[in-house]
Order: sequence, then C-alpha cells, then structure tokens
Amino acid sequence: MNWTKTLGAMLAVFAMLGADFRLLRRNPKAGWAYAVITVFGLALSVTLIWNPDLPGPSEWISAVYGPLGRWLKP
Amino acid sequence: MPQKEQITSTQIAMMMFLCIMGTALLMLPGITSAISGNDMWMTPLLGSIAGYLIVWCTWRLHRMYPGDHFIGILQKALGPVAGTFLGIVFVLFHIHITGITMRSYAEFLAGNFFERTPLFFLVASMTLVAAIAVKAGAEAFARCSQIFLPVVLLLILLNFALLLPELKPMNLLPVLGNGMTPVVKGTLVVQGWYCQFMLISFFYPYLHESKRSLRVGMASVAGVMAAMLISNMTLLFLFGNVTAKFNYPFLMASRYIRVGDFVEHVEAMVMMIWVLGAFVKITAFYYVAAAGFANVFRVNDYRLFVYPVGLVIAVMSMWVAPNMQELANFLSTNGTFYILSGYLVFPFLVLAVAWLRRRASARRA
Repeated sequence: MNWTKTLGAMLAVFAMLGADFRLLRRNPKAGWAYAVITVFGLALSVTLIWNPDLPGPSEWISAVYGPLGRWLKP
Repeated sequence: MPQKEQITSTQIAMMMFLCIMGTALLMLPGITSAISGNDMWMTPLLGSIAGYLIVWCTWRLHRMYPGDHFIGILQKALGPVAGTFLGIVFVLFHIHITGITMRSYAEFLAGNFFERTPLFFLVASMTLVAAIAVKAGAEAFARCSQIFLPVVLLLILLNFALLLPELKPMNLLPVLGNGMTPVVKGTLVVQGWYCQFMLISFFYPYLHESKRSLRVGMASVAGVMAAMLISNMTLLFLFGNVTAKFNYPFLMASRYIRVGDFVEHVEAMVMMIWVLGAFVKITAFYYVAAAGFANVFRVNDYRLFVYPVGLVIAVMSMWVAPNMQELANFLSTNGTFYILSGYLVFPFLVLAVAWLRRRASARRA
C-alpha cells in the first residue's frame, strides 16, 4: 500500500515536471530553485507516507508557545 | 514580478473579504463561544482593531516601497542578508498556515459530507484547482472573487433572514456576565483571523490607483466585521450557549432552515457556497506562497513555482495535525499566538525598522 502511494507521489512529480517543462526550458537558471522546492516536497511526502505520525511544525510551535496557549484554553 | 496585470481596488477589497471569511465563519463561532460564552458577539467588534491596524501597517509599507510586496520590502528594508533569511522564515511560516487552512477546509468537507473520501483526495483536488487559478494570474482570481462574493454574502444574509422565526434575542443576556477576561481571550483568537489582512500587501503592487489603497483595506475590514457580527448574532440567538458544543455552528444553523414544506436540507447549498469562499482563500494564500518563494530565490516570474509549491502545501496540510480535534485545539490556543506573531507583530517590526532607516538616511542627507 505504501509502495503504491510512493509510486503515486513520484508520478505526481513527473506530471509536474512535464507540465512545467516548457517554462523550465525558457528559464533554466530558475531550475535550481524549482529543484529545491520539488525535492523538499517529494521528500516530505515520501516520509509522511511511510511515517504518517511524524511530529509536525504544529507540535514544535506548541512547545514554544505552550505557556501562552494554556492561558487561552477555555 | 510581471506587472502587466492590474487589479482594481474593489477587487482587492472583495478578495480580502473572502480571504478572511473563507474559514472564519466555519470555525470561529464555535471557538469563541467556548471561550467567551454569551459575549462572543463582541469578539469580532473588538478584534477588528487588529484588522485596521494591520491594513494601516501594510499601507505604510506600500507607500514607502511602492511596487514591492511584503517579501520584497523585507529585503529592501532589512538589507539583503537579513531580508532574505527573514523572507525564508516568513514564507515557511506562511506555508504552515496555508497547510492549516487547507486542512481545515478538507476536514470540514470530510467530517460533514464526504465521510468515506480519503482526506488527501479533497486536499489534492482543491490544490489542483487553486494551482490553475494561481497560474492564471492575480487578475484572474481577483475576478473570481468578484463573482463569488455576492453569492457568499447572499448566503450569510439569507441564513439570517430565514432563521428569523427561530431566533431568541434573550440569549444575549447576561452581557459581560463573566467579566471582560473571556471576551479578551476570544478577541485574541478572532484577531488571529483579522491579521491575515496582512496579505493585502502582496496585491497592492497590482493596484493601478494607489490613492485608494488605504480606504479599500479599511472598507474590507469593516465588511468582515459586519458579516461576522451578523452571523455571530444569528448563531447566538439561535443556539445560545450550545454554540460552543458544535464544531461548525453555521452548518448546524442551516439545518434548522425550513420554509413552508419544501425548502429543506439547505446545508448542501451551504457546503457548495463554502467551497467558493475557501477556494478564494486558499488561492490567495497559495499565490502569496508562490510569490514569496519566487522573490526569495530571486526569480522574476512566480508562475514557475506554482506546482512545486502546491505539492508542498498539499503535503504540509497532511502534516500539520493528526486529526480535526488537535487542529481546532492548536488553532484556538498556541496557534493564535503563532499567527499573531507572524502576521501582526512581524509586519509592525518591519515597519518600525523601515521607518528608523528612513529617518537615519534623511538625517544623513
């Protein structure tokens, strides 16, 4: 099941590359920025497919703003 | 950034109205009712102060650096190194909030209408539609919001009008029965939504008549305040204290609508219209994320980054919370201070630094 989802994610990235191919050819210097964001997105999605309960940024923020948040609790 | 597109001031006002109301009416009444009880109707009134303040702040920044949106202003006001670093931090913060927004929308649909649909499918479909809209350009989806706004407004007003026989104004009492503290707490949560008006900074460069930019923003804040007041009053008069027990009181209220014997099950219409509002909000946030990334990576055209940013937003929306209860809990407690620090405190700090730099260079000259 997880392998199917991983395959789906890679297919989505390939579809994305296909759709943006012409734009990337016109603007090759922006290709590195495109690659950074895409790799980040793909890595995050594969990590979450295999490990869906990974603590997210909300947990990190809750650690920082914990005391203030407790004051606001109804 | 391609400046060929132009947006009128009315379109910006409409877009920001839908941007805020897209999720405000869904979740806020339940949260503020749990915190402030009967006094939850005061929270949009007091919270609008944050809206006016942030609109004034972004307008001042726009006047100091016309033609730039907030990330561009960061780099010009704070210098290349600090500006880029803080720009990256802000864009990541913004992506987190966009993920939360997308997740709220998907949870709303999945929890009430599509119980057996996988959450990711709802997220992915909205991401795809929003991606197409963002690729089409700011002018295109500004026009979308111009078309969708009357529909959403009609929904809010119709909901109020059709529920009139069931409303009990006595639910308003006692006023300030528990003092001001619960009202202040509720106001803080509502301000977390109002300060999203800060995103107007990303659309100001497209405005072709800069003179009306302040009035436009203020009018939009006033509109949001009025809409929230009407709907909060409707829910309070209908449900009283029980509003706090619902996740989505507005949807529950629409289930009460029964005109004659044939106008029933209005909640399906509510859902369709809510998708319109959520679409405008998600598209606006998506556009800001793409424009922010483009500026941080020093690329002129944001259209290149639309699909990768969409992938990041879709994945982020699955990551932000394990379930609906945790999401609502985060939004009403820690998330409020997080959002306020990013969308309210940070722009004011940037304004202060920019103003000090202006004064220092004026004194030197």
